[in-house]
Amino acid sequence: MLPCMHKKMFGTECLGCGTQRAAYMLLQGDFVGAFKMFPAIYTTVLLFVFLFLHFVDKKRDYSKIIIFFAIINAIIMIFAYVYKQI
Amino acid sequence: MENYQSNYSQNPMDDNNSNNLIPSNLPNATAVLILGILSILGCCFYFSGIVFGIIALVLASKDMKLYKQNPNAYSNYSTLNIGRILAIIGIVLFAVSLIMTLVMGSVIGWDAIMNPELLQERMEQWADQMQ
Repeated sequence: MLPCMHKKMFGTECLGCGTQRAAYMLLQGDFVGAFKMFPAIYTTVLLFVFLFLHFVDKKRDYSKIIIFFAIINAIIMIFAYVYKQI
Repeated sequence: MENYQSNYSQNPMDDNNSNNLIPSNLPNATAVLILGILSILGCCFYFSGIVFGIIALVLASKDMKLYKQNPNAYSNYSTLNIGRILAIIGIVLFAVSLIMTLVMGSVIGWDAIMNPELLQERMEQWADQMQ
């Protein structure tokens, strides 16, 4: 797995820390563990699914749904991060 | 009808491009989208998040001007818009993690940040003080 530069430089976890571990847990089928590790993992997966669809399917406009998921994703990440630090 | 005509006459550039039956692509839209994705993913890799985010926003602002001049001539505005929003979110995430690090640094002390054991100790002290 790729190490986190932020964690190496400052010692504290960054906003994205846990994404790779959560994705790995998801692949192993540990859905609850993945959510506990990184709560934004499900919206992140959905975001990338729709981004993929945007590249593949040119007929439909996915921009609204992608922007919606991106903003939800950012909000969950920030809340989870603040919660984890405190 | 009047609107339609005045739109045409206002902008002489319109005539050139909107006569094309096939709408063309904005030049930087895909690049902006990819940079936007990288800036979200790169929020971990410290400076890459903000660097990719700013490059994406600069490219996006150029394309936005092109699009505003002539909205009918381009087909992939949605790609540009998604990329721009992703870049903004990447920058916001970077800013939040920077602010959080600065807050942690000033509350707990910069010497403890680099040292996990000392960090744990200081965190417990801080939690005790809060209660």
